[in-house]
Amino acid sequence: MPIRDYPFVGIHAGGGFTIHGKNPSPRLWIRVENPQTGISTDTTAIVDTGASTCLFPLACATMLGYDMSSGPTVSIGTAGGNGVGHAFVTRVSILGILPDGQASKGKVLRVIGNIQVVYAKDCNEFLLGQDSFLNKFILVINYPEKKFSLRLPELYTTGAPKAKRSRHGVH
Amino acid sequence: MGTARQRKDPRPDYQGQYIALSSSGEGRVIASGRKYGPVFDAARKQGETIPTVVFVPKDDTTYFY
Repeated sequence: MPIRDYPFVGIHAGGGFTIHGKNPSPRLWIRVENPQTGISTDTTAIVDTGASTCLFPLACATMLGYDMSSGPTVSIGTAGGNGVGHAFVTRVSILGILPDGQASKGKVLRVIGNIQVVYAKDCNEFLLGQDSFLNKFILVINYPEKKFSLRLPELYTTGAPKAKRSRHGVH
Repeated sequence: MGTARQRKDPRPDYQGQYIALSSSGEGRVIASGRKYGPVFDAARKQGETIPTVVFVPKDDTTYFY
């Protein structure tokens, strides 16, 4: 299912959410799961076109049951400096969003699948970057209207011939 | 003449913290803290099988990722 007109989400100091409210940003509600332990969590993740990979907080990896001694270490460079992260295969799914900005926990819009995620100590937020996430999609961000869409390349049908229709349906 | 006592703002302020939300509809905050792990654990102990844990950014801070 394409992610169409997903609204920007603002997170308030009091813990509430708003769509198109104060300081909204392009965030997706996602489900993050360790496929080996089955432990999972839901959270908001920033769609970050400037990030070369998906970067999640290191403490999340611990809670999901990843073995820190087994994940390969990766050098990372952020605006805050350089560091080291641990890469683990992680199952990521995109969740729906409710009118009040909260996750629709029962509505999985798309399973991204098992992808490589780097977990880093100095990372507070969940960032969805290019490798293993954005490189799968055509991303359209509508900043004036504070919404964005993610489509798979094969659904990008501009210029494709229209199907012929008959009385009996589509050929 | 007594001194005026400043009233505390009753609204919670979770800026710069992680919060865990209840999955029972209204999205009530059921745990909070500066560290991800204890917030995740607290949500699991309260029966959340898939805890929803979110970082609340600070309002007066510009973030570069």
